[in-house]
Amino acid sequence: MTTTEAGVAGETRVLLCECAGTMAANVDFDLLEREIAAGCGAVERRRVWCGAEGRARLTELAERRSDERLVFVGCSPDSAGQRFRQLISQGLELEVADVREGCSWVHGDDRAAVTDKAVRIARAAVHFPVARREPAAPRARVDSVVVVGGGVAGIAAATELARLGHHVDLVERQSFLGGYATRIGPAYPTNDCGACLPAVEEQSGVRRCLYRNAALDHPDLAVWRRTEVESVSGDPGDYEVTLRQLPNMVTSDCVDCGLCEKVCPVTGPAGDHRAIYSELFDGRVRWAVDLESCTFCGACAEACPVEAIDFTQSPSLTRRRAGAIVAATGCDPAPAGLVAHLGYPSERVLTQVELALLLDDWEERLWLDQPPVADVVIVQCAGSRDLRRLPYCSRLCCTIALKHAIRLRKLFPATRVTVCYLELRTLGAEGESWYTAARLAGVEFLRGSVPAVELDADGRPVLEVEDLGAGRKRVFRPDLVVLSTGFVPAADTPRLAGMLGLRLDEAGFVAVLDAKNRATETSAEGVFVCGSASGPKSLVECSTEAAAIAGQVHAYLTSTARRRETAPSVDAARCIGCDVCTDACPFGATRLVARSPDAARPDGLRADALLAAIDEKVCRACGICAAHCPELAITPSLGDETLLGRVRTLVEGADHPVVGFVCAECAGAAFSLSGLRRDRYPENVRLVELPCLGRVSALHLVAAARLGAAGIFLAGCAEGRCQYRRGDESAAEQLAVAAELLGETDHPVPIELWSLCAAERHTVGRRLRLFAAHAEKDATARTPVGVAAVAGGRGEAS
Amino acid sequence: MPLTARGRLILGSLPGVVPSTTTDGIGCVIVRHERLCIGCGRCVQVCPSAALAESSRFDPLQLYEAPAGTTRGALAVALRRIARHEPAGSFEVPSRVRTFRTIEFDKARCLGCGACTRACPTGALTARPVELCEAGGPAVPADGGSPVRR
Repeated sequence: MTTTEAGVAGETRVLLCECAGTMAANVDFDLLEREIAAGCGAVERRRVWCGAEGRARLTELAERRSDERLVFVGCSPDSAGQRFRQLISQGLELEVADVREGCSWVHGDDRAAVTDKAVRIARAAVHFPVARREPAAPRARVDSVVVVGGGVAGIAAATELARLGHHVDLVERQSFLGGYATRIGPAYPTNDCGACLPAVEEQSGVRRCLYRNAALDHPDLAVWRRTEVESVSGDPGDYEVTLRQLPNMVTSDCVDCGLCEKVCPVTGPAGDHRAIYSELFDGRVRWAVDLESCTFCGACAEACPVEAIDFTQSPSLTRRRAGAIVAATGCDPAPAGLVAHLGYPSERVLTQVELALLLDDWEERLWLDQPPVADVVIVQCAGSRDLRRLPYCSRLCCTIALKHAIRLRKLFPATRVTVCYLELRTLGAEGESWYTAARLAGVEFLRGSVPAVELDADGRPVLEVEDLGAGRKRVFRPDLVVLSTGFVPAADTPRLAGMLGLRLDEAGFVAVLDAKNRATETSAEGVFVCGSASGPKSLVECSTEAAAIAGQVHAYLTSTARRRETAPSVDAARCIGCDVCTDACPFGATRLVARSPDAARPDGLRADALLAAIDEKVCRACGICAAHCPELAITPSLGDETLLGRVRTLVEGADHPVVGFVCAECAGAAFSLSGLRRDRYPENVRLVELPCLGRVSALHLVAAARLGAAGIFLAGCAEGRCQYRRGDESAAEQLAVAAELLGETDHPVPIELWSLCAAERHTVGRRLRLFAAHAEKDATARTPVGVAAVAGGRGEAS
Repeated sequence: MPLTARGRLILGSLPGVVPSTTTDGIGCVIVRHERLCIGCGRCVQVCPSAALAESSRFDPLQLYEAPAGTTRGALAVALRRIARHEPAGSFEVPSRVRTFRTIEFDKARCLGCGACTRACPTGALTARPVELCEAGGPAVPADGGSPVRR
C-alpha cells in the first residue's frame, strides 16, 4: 500500500484498487499511479479496497468529514456501490472511475493501450468533478392522508391507513359511501355483496359489512360525505387540500324511523325517491336530503321525533394538510352515446348495471305466474374494443354478464338467456368455472358480434347476428337486450388530474408511474392511485391494491424526503426567459418567474422578460432542460465543461476512438454486466456515463466528433422506459440535429442510438465490436493514404 | 441574430467544413405567415426579446387585401359588407381592442428561441432552419475552434 500525505480540503484523494491482481495482466498499475498522482492531492493504492482493511480506511476517511473529494478508481459504479453500500448509506461520498468492467476486464493483452485508456478514465474523473451541493435538510412529511373517493377501494385504503396510525380524510362526493360495488347486488368472484371489509381484531369473523365494521369508526378516520376536492396546493409531502362540503341536513341524531320520507311531498329528479331519501346504509347516516329537488318546506323536520333534521347547515370549505393523497375515484359505465347504435336508451335495452338493480327488484317480488321476461339477449363488448368507440377491453364485463346470466336462469328457469360474444375473457381457473356454471345453468352462447339493435313498431328490439359457429344469420326478437358496456374514467378524473398534476393515459384513466413495478404510484410524487381510477378493476384487485397502497403510503409518510440529486442552476445573465425548458422538463419542475430588477440579464431582453426557475423539490436532475436550453443558461451537476472535458481527456489523440454516451440506468447495468462477463471489445471504445441520456445535447455529439471521434453511440434505456420519462426522446432529437449537421460537413461520423436493458447484456460486446469496426472502416476511407489526418481529426481552416 | 448561443457554439464545434444551411435544432429563423395570423398577440406576450410587438395602428386596407378563405379574408368580406365607404387608411386602435391587431416583427431583435411558434394558436409562426449566410456566420468559440469556411 502506498500513501502520501494527509487530507487537504478541496483536494482530490484517489483510492486506487488493484482488484487483487485481476487487472495486472493488461494494466500497469505503477504507471497508472504515477500518472494519477501528477494531478491530484493524494493517491492511496491497495490490493483490494473492499477487504476489511480497506473498509476500515474508508470509514476513517468518511468520518474525517473534510472537504476532500474521494475518487475511487477500480470497479464499475454498480459494483463499487454494492461493495461500499453500507458506508455510502452512512454518508460516504465516493466518485467512481471504472477501470475494471469498463477497461481491463474487457480488453486484450495490449498492455500499453489498455493502461493508456485506464489513465484517461482515471484522469477524466479526477480532473473534471461533478458539481455537488449539500442536499437540503430532509423534511418530515405531514402525517395525514386525503383519500379521494369513498368506493370500496377508497374505503379499504382509508381504513387500512387509519389502522396503521395515520390521520385519514375520506372524501366522497355522494351522500353514502360504497360506490358502484355496493349498489349492484352480488358481485364477482364470491357471488355475495361487495360491501365487505376485513374485520378488525376486536370483532369476530374475518370480514364485516362496511356498516358494521368498526374500522370505519377509527378515531383517526374522518369521513367527508357530499364533499369534493376544490383545490390542491403545496408540495409533495405537504399538500394543502381544500374540501368543499355540501350539508347532509340529517344529523347523526337520526334513529332511522323513516317518518320523514313518508311526509315528504317532493319527488327527486329521477323520480325514484323523495327529496329526503335513504339509498344505502353505510352504517353512519341513513337519510339524506337531495338539495336539488328539496323545497325546504320543513315537513320532515316537523315530523322528525328526534329533531335530527337541521336546515341551518350550509356548504363549507375546509383546508386539510396531507402528506399523501390517494386518488380512488373509480370508473363509470360507458355513457349512452357510445352504445346508441345498439338501441340504448330504451325501455327494453338496458346496461348490465341497470340489470343488476332490476334483478334486485325482481328478486324482491314473487313471480308465481309469469316471469318478467321470457327471452333475454346479452350483447358482449357493447361499444368496446371498437376503434370508433371504446378501443380497449374493460375486462370486467364478461364476468359480470356470466354472473347475471346465471342469476337470471336461477331466478326464472323458464327464461331463455342468450349471450352474443366474440371472445369471453374470463381469466384464470375461477373465471372458467363461471363459464362452465353458466353453461350448466342453461345459458345459450352464440359466437358473433351484434352490429346494431333496432326497435320495431311495438318497441321490441330486433337483432340480426351472424352465428359464426353455425355459419348462418340468426334474428332475435327478445323481451330484453342487455348491453355489456365497458367502463370509462369517472367524470371528474380530468379535473382532479389537473389539480394534482397527474398524467392520464390514452383512455383518460390515471396513468401509473410504471406499469410493471410502481403500478399504484402516479406521475405526481406523493399521489397514489387506487382501484378503478387507473383502469377498470374487479373487487379482488381493488382490495389487494388498497392494502398495497396502505403499505406504500405508510412507508412514504414515515420516511423523510430522500432525494440526493443536485438540481441544475440557472444563470440569470444568460437566461432569456423563453419556454424551452418548461416545455422540455418531464416533471414540471421548471417554470418562468418574474425577474428581479437587480438580477443580471442578457442584452436585448425586454423589460418584463421572465426568468427560468427550477424547483429543487420536484427536479430529478436528469439534465434534459440543460440539453435543450438555447442560451446554455442551465448548468446541471454534470455541467457542459465537465462533460466536454471528460470526452476530451478520453479521446484526444487516440487512434480512431469511438465515443459512447451511456445512461447510468438500464444501459449502464447492461454495460457493467457485460463487463462482468468479460465480453471483449476494442480499446478505442471510450464510455462516458451520464445520469440520463437526456443530458446529451447536439453540442456534445458535435464536439465529440470534432475531438476526433470516429463513431458516436448513445446507449439509453429500453424504448419508452426512460426513468426520467423523456430522456430517450430528447436524446433522439438531439441525435437527429447532430447527425444532420455532421452529415452536411465533410466529416460525417457514424452515429447511433441504442436502447438497452440489463437483459441485453449479451449483445453489448457484439454491438461494440461491430460498431467500432464499422467506424474505423469509415474513418480510414475518409482519410486517403498520403493525406495525414490533422491531429484530433479537425478540418483545417482554409 | 436568429441563431441561439447554443447554436453558435454547436456550429463552432463542427469538425471540417461548416454547411451553409442547417437544421432548426440549434436556433431558427422565424417565418410569419401573415394570412394565418389572427392578431391575438400571444406571440407578443411570450417573446423574450420584444421582437414581436402589437402595432398601435390598424390598416383596414391591409385586411381588405387578405386572401379569401382565410380568417382575415372572411373578416374582410364581412367588413366590406357593413362598411359604408372605403377606409381612408390606417387609424389608431383603442387600447381595449385585444384581437386583430397588426403584429410587427423586428427581425434584428429576434433571438431564435422559438417561443412564439409554440404559443401561436393558428400556426402562423413557424421556425425555419437557419441559413448561415443570412445569419452572418457563427461566432468562433473561445476555445479556438476552426473558423468557418464559406
